[in-house]
Amino acid sequence: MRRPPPKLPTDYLDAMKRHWEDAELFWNQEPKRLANADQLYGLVAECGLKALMTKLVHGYFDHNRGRPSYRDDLVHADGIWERYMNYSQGGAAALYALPTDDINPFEQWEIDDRYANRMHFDHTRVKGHRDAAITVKELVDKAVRQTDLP
Amino acid sequence: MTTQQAVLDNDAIREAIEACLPADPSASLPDQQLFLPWPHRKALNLDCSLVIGARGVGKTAWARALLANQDHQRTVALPSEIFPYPLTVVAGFSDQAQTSHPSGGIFAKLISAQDDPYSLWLAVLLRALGSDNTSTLPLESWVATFDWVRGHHEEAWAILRQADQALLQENRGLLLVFDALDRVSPDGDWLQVSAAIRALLRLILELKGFKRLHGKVFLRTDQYARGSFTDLPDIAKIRANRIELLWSLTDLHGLLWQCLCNGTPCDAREHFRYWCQDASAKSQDPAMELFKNDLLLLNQSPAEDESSQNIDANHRWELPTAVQRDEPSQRALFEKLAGRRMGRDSRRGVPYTWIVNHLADAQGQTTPRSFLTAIRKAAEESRHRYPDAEYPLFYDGLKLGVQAASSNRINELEEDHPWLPAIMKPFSNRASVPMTVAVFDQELSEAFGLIPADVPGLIERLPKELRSQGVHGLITYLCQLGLLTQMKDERLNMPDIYRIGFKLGRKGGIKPAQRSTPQA
Amino acid sequence: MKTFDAILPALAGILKSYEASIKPYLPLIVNRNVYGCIVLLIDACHEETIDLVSDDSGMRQLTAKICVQLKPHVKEPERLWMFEDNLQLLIDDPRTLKFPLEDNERRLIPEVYVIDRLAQEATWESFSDNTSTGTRVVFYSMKGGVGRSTALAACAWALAESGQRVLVLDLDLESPGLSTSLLPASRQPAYGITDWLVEDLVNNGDAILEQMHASLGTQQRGGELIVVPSHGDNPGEYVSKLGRVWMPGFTADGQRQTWSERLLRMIQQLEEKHQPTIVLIDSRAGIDEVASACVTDLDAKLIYLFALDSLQTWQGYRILFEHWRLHGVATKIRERLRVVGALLPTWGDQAFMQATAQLRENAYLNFSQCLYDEELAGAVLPLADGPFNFDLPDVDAPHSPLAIGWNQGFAAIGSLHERLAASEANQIEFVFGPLIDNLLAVCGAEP
Repeated sequence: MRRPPPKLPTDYLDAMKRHWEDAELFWNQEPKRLANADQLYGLVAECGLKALMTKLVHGYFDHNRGRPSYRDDLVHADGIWERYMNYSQGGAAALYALPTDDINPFEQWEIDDRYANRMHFDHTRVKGHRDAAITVKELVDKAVRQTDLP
Repeated sequence: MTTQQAVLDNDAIREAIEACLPADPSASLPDQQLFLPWPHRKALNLDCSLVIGARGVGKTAWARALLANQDHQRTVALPSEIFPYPLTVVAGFSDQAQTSHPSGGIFAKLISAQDDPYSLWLAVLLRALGSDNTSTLPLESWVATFDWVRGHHEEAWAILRQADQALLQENRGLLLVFDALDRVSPDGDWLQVSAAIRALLRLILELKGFKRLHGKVFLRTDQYARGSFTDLPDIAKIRANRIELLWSLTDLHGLLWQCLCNGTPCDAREHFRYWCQDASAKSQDPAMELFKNDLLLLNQSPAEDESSQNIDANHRWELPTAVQRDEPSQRALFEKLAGRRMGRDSRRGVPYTWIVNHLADAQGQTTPRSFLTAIRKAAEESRHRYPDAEYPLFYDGLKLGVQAASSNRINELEEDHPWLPAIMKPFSNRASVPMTVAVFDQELSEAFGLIPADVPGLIERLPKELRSQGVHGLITYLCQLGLLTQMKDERLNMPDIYRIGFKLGRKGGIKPAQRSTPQA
Repeated sequence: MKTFDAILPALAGILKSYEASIKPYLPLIVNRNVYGCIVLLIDACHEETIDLVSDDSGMRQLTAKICVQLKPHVKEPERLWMFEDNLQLLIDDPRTLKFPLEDNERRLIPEVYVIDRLAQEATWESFSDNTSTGTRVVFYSMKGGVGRSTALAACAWALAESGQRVLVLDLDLESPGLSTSLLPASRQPAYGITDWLVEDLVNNGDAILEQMHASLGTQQRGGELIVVPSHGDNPGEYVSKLGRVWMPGFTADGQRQTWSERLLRMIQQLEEKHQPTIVLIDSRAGIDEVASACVTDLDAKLIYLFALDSLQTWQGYRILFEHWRLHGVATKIRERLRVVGALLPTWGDQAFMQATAQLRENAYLNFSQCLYDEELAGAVLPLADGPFNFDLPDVDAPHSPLAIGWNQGFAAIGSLHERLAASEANQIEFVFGPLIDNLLAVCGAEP
C-alpha cells in the first residue's frame, strides 16, 4: 500500500534541524511545552536516522520516488530506530553506531500521539525521548563534520 | 614419398585411430605394433626367470613373442641380439593348445588332490628336450609320460644333465616359457593353481643349476602375492632377478605411436610417421644421442629417413628414439591429437598426462590395455559426438574413453577375482569415498558376517598371512590389487577408474541442492 | 543462553520443529545485525493476519521459544518480527548478500535466508566476476613469513626473462616489502599504491599515475618487469596515509565507491597504461578485510594459496573455506584456487616427497569438505558441468600443491633483486619451477 509521493522535496537534514530547534524552544520554555516537544523529538530522531541511512546505505532512498525504497516511508521514530539498529552495516555502521541498549527509547512514541491529550506527556517520558534525539543528532553532526553528510 | 603438406582432417585421424587400435581390448597386438619399453628388456634376459605384471601389461604378448622366436625366426619386435646363443623356445604352459604341454583339463585330471605337480612339470620339460634325448620316455600320452616320470626321478635328472651337456657343446639353449597359469585349473580352484605354481618355481630353481636349460614364468601380480612363495628354499635366487612389467607415462605414449605408425596403411598413417620423424628431428636432448647409440647395438636402425617408408604392411616401422622416450617430443605429438587443455582453459590439466593419470589404479599404475582402449573410444566418441571440435580427440571424448576403459578394467578384475562383485555390492549406489575403516567393516559385517571367512570364495584367494587379519587383511589385499589406498588419516580411498564403475560416490562439502540454489 | 555460534543452529532447530506453523509465512529472512542480534523478516502482506497473541497460536509459541532460547541475542517477543514489502524482491535481488540457513548437519532449511550485517566493507562474500580480460594472479597466504613475496618476485623475474610483460603490484600495504626486494634503492619510484588511494579521495589519482612504477627491462626481447610498490621512495606520513586508504570514495557524479572498487579502478588504469600480459598481485596475509578484497574483489583468474603444512595454517584456511561455502561463494571461487606448498623440506628426496604428500592430503581434506561438490553414489554424470570434485592424487586439482622447497639461497632476502640478477636461470627454475610453469600455462605460453 503506497502513498503518493510527497509534494515537497525531501530534505531530512534540514527537517531534522528545524524540528530540533523548535523542540528545544518548547523544552526550554518555562513552563515546558512537553507534549509538542515530545512529538518533535521523535521527528528529530526519524529525520536524523533517515538522513544517515540515505547517505550511507546504498540504495536506501529511491530518488525517483522521493522516498525510501522500502518500507521506511511508513515508519517513524519507533520503527526507524529499530530498523537502523538492524539494517546498518559496513564501515558506516562502525562510525555511526547507536548504543546497544536493549530497549528502543522510542517504543512509547507514536505518530498518532498528535491526537492525544497533553496530560499524557510527563517529564520523564519526554526527557527520555530528548536524550535519544540528542544521540541521533550527535551522530548526524559527526557525519556532517566528516563531510559524509549532506 | 614427399613430406605430406596436405591438411589431414580430424575425421580421417579419428578413423585411423580406430582402425589402428584393437577393438577388442583383450586381443593381442600384431608384431609390428608391439612396443618394448626399455625397462622391460630385462624381462627377456635369460637370467630373469620370473616376470610379474598386472592384467593387460603385456605378459602374454611377450610370452608369445618369445615363442615366435623359435627356429631363429626372429620376431620383428624382439631385439636381434637379445640371446647370447641360439635358443629353442617351447611353451611350458599357455592358453593355446600346444603339443608341448597338457591342456588345463588334462593337467587338472592328472593332478588329483594328493599329487605333486612337480613331476608333471618335469615331464613337460623332458618332452621339450626333443626326441634324440628322450628315447626312453613314453610319449604316447601325457598320462604315460607323467607316470614314468613319477617313478623315475633319477633317470629324469640324468636325461636332463645329458641334454644340458649336449646343448653346451652345440652352443645352443632351451627356454621354456610358462604363461596363463591360472588355466591349470579350469574350475578356478586356487589352491590347485597355487600348488602348481609353487611346484613350477621349485623346478625353475633347480634349473638354475644347469647351463643351457632355462625357464621363464609369467605371473599375474596377485598370483605371485597370494602364493606366498617366500618360504621356498632359495627363492631369493629368482626373486632377485624378477622383473615387474610396469608402464611409465612415456612407455604408454611410445606404445600408442608404435601402434599408430604401424596400423592399417592409409594417409593418416603416413602423417603419423612424418610427425614422429619431425618430432625426433626437433628433439634436442643430447642424452638422446647416447641413448640412440645404445639402441643401435641392440636393435635394427631406427627409421629416421624417408627412404625407409615401406609399402609392405608387415614391415615394422620403428619409432624414432625421441618418440620412444623423450617426454617433450611426446607431448608435442599428443598435442596434435588432443590439444593442450582438458577443458575450456588451462587449469584442468594437459591431455598428455591427464589421460594416463585418470586411468591409474590405486598404486598409480596404468595398463597399456586401458590406455589404448581409452584412446580408441575417445576417437570414436569424438567422431560421433564432437565432430566439429578443434582437435581429433576432444577432451569430453577423452573422458568417455576413460569411462569405457574403466568398465573393461572392472570386468577383468571381476573375472580374476570372482568374489569381488559380492564385496562391492553393499557399497554400490550407497556409499562414498573416502570412507573410514569402521564404516567399511560395518557394511561388510552386516552383509556377510565374519570377514573374510564368511565371504564366499574369498579366503582361499587371500595370501596366507592376510587370512587371519579380519577386515584389515582384506583391506591390505585390496590395496595390493590396486583397488584401494589408505590415506594418512586411515580412511580408504578408491581411484576414479574403479569408483565410478562400482558406483560409489565421492564426498564433498557442496551438496547437489546447494549447487542450484540461487545465491548472491 | 546462547553464544554467537549457537544462534543459527539453534534457530534452525526451532524453525524445523515449527515447520507447519511457519510455512504460510515463508520466505523468511533472519537479519543478524552489527551487534549480533537477530530479528526475523517476513513479507508485509502478513502483518495484519499473523497471530502472535493467542495461546494456541503456533507462531506465538515459536516466538516465545526463540526469545527464551536465544537470549541475549534476541530482544523481547514484541520486537522479534519485522515486516518488509516485497520480501521476495529483496531475496531475488542479486545484490543482496545472503546465505541459506542450515542445520547442524548442513541441511538447508527451505526458504529461510540469513542476511549478515558486518561493520566492515569487504566481507569475503562478494565475488567480483566479470570484466577483466587480463590475467591477474593473486598471491595469498594465511600467515606471513612463508616466502610468498619471494616466490612472487622470483616468478615475476622468470616470466619477464621468458618474454612476458609482467606487472607486479604490492598490495601488502601494511607490511610493504616486495618492491624493495625487487627494485634497487635507486630505482624506487616517487609514489606507490598507498599514495594513489589517498590522492584518489580528492580525485587526484591521475596526477601521480605516471610516477608510481619502475620498469626493469630484461635480457629477453619483449619481456619487461614493471613494479608498482606500496609506497614511493619516500614513504612520507605513511601511517596517516594508511589510515585513509580504505575509505570509500565518491565519484564525480556522487556515486559511492567502496575502497575495493577504487582499487580495481586503479588496477584497470595501470593495466591500460602498461599493457601487461600478466599481473601478479601480492596480497595481505590473514583473514582481515583487506586480504579478503584482494582475493575476491579483483577478478583474479588465479589465486595461489600459500600453505605451510601446519595446524594453524589449515585452521585458518578452513575458516575461510567454510565461510565461502556458507555464503555461496565457493562455487565461483574454487576453480581459481591453487595450493602452493611453501618452504618444503629439501634435505633428502624422501623428506620432500613425504612432506608434499602430507600437504596434499591435508589440502584435500579441507577442499573436499568445503569446496568440492559431493558426487552421489551411482549418480549418472554429465560430462560437461559435471560435479566439481577431484580425487586425492589428481595433480591438476586445486588442492594439489605446487611445491616450493626451502632453499638457503632464497631465504630471508634483503636485496632479492641482486640475488635474482646473480642467480642462474637454472637455480630459479629449480626452486620455483612448478610455480613458473603453472603461470606460463595460465598465460597461454609454452613452458
